[in-house]
Amino acid sequence: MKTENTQHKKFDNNTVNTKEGKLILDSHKLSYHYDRVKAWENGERIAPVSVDVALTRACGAMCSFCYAMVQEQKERSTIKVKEALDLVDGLVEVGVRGVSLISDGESTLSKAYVPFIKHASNVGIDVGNATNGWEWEPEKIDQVLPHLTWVRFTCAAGTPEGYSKIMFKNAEHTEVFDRAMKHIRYAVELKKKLNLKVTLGIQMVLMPEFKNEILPFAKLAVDLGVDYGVIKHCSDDEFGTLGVDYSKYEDMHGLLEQAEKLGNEDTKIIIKWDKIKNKGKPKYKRFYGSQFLPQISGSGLVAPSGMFFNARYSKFHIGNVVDESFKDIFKSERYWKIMNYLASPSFDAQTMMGTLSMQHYVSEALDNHVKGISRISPQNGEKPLHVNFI
Amino acid sequence: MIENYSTQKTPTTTKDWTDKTAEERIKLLRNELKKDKLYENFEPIKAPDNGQVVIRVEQIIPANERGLLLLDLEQKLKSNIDVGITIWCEPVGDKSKLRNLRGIKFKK
Repeated sequence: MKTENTQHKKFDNNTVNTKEGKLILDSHKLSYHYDRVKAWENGERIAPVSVDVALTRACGAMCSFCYAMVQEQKERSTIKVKEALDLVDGLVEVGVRGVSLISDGESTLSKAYVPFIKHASNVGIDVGNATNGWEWEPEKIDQVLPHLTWVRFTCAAGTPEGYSKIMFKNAEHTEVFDRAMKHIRYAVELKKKLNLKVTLGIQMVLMPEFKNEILPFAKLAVDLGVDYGVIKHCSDDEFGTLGVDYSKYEDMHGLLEQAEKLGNEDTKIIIKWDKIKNKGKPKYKRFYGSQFLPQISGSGLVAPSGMFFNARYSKFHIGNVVDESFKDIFKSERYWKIMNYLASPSFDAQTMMGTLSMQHYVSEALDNHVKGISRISPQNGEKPLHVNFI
Repeated sequence: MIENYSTQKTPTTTKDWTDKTAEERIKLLRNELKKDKLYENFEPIKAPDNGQVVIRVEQIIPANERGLLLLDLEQKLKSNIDVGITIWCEPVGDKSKLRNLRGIKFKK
C-alpha cells in the first residue's frame, strides 16, 4: 500500500521483520487473500477472511479510551458455551480463516473462552486474542496458549501508576498492573519453554494526554520480553464523544520515533504511523472492508463493523448468533443488503461512522484498488505472520 | 463486477427540505410513518437541515428484522420526502457502571 508516511517506513508495506517472520500491524494482508479480492471485485458474495468476536460484553477495566463506551445496544443476550461452539462451526462452514477475540468485551471472562479457542484451533481456524490479562491466570494460559496465533495485551502505559489511572480507578490501584505483568511474563516464559509459535505483544492506545507514557511503554515491552510493543491512535465516534484531539498527535512524532528506536532483536517497537497520521478522517467514502472483516458483539449481535454496534446504527444490525447460526446470517439477503448499502452512495464513511475502524486498512486498500490508485496484486512467497488476520 | 460508486457523492437534501422548519419536517416524517402500521412505535425526534434524521423506536425489534425494516423505511423517506434523508435511531449510552465513573456521555 502506498502511503504518505515514507519518512517512517523502514520496510515495504509497513512490514516489520522479526525473528519469527514478517509482522504487518500497520497495514493489511489482502494480497495474501487475492482469491477473495478477485471474487469480491467480480461481484461475488465472498466469505469474510476474518471475523472479530467478543464472547461477552463484560469487562472489569474502565479504560478511558475504551470504544465500548459508545457501542451500547438494546441487545441484552449473552453467548453461552454451546452458542460459542456453534459459532465456530458456522465460521468454518462459511470459509472464515481467522477469528480474533477483541470486539466489545473482555472474552477471557466468558465460560466459553477456553472451549471456543480450543475448538476453533482444532477445526483449523486461526485464533487471536486481545486482553487486559487481568483474569488470564496460568491455568487458563496453559490451556489456550498452544492454540493461539497471537495474544495482544492492552497496556495503556509503561508505569504502574499511569496504567492504573488510565485503565482502572486511579493511580493508587497498581494491583491491576502487577497482575497483568505477572500473567504476561508467565506467557512469555511458557512460549519459550514449549517453543510455541504464538506472537505476544502489548499495545498502547495513545491519547495525546498520555504522551509521557510513550517511552516507559516501549521500555516495558523490552523488559517483558514480548515480541512487540505497538502504539496506535485512539478511535472516536463521529461526534467526538471520547474527546480525542487528532491535531495533537503530530506533536508526539518525535517521542514516537524515540520509542521505535528502543526496540531490539527480540522486541520490536512498532508505531502505527498510517493511522496516527490519518487525523481521523478517511480518504474513502464507501466502506468495503466489512465484507472481509465483519464483527460480532459480546451480545451476539452481528454487524459490518463494531462501530455500528450502538443502537444508533440499528439499520446495520444483521442478526444475532444467539438466535440463529452464523451461516444462516451470512447467507441471508439482509447480510448482503446491508453490506451493499455501505458500498453505495447512500453511505459516506467520512461523516457517518467513527474514526479508524478495525476495517480501515482493508477499506482504504480496496478503495485505492477500485479507483486504480494502487491495485492489489497477489503475493507469493513467504507469508507474513498472522496472515489470516487481515 | 462490483458496481463502483467509490467517487460518487452521497445525495444531499434539496431546497424543499432546507426551506422547511424542523417542526415542519418532523410533521412530514410523522405523517409518512403513520401510513404503515409497521412504524407505529417510531417517532422522529430530529430532522436537521442535513437530512440526518433521528428516530426513537419504542420497541425491541429482533436483530434479524431491524436492519431491513430501517433500510426499507429510509428508502421510503428518500422516495416520498427527500432524497437526502438518512435515518439513524436514537443512540443508547454506555450501561457499564464501572466505565460510567469516567463521566463520558454519548454526544448525540
